[in-house]
Amino acid sequence: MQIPVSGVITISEHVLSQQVSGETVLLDLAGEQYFGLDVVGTRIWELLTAGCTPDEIMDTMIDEFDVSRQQLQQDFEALLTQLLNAGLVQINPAAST
Amino acid sequence: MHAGATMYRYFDFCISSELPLPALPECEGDSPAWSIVMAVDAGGGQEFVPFHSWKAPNGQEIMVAACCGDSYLVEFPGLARFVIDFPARCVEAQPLAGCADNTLAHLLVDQVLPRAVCHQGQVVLHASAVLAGDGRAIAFAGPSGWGKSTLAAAFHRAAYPLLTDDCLLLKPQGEAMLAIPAYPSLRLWPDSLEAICGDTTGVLSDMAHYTDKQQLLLKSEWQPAPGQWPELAVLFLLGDSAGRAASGEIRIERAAGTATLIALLESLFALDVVDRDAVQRSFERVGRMSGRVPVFQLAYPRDYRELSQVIARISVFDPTDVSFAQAVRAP
Repeated sequence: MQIPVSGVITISEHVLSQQVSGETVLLDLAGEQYFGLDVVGTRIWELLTAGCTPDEIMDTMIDEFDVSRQQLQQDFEALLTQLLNAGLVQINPAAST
Repeated sequence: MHAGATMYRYFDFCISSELPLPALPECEGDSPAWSIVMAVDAGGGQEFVPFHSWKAPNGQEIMVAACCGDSYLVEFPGLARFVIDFPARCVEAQPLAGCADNTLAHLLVDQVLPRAVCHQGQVVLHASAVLAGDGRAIAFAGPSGWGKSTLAAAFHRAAYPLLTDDCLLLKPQGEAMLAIPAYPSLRLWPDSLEAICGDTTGVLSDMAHYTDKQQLLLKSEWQPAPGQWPELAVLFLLGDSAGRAASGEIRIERAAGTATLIALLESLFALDVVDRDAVQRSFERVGRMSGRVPVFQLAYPRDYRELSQVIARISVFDPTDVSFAQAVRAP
């Protein structure tokens, strides 16, 4: 998928999260399913919950992790696709480009 | 305490019950944590709103939960109804037509009460546990059918006192995590019972009228001194996450933080799995606890003949030794 650069990504209301040892477990109350995020996914989730746009998340992650922009873009898109498919996040179409 | 009721020990407290609970050790005391009363119309007059049902693999509803204020109705279709009144700490038990006393007792102590205790803020897991030689507990958690009871039975056969075969309360105490069993018994299919516990001592009875499973009561198995509950040494996770093992292979790997938390949450005796606040509290409680419990994934051949090798491997296992975080092959 193509990440909307300045779109607004919102966390679904039926998602709970809990950090453990630097990683995160998401619980989808609607589907009664758990999802595990590694350290990188956990940081992206933190930035999503803080209301950051994809562009802002990319910039922050580049600063904090030793990763190329291309690699980060791929990983971010893969994670976002999983989160969207699972219904854990939504992209606000009005704000997306 | 109600007239005609008997006091039983359950986890680390006493309950009074009008329903005979032969699997539980009797105890003395006059201030039960829970009272069990028999009812002909449990929750009569209250309007319960169903919010969740648990289903068997074939899709059949086996347990339905409903709520009315601070009371919860737990119904096993065609078998029994239980109403949990949390403020009164009372459970009304109503057998439906044809439900035998042993079935009613089984549903109460193995399904309803663990969920009531868990709902009150405790961490109660679907886990079996045995007592190791150093006085600490070894526990096994995992989905139904993955061998929790079988492993516990094999350890019991190898002279490890049995703590529980399916219901374990974890309670932090200082730096330690205490492992408090509901009560000691083994519930096994007849073939497992014959293969593992053929000559063991204990009282054998039918677990419930709707199953061929047998229950081996071991009330005298292990009696802790008052307040002296064992510390949890290690919790092994069984199931898909641990993978399957080839013949002769016993694999023990440290579980990741997220895998541990998910396994603990999935093993929880949850009652209200829908209410956001209730689930959030469980999530946070188990999350705080998961980092303090040494958890490993255990994969071993599903073969009775190889259980002695599993026991031998675990008996020398040191959860503080990181070199164990790799596959090993039984001798």
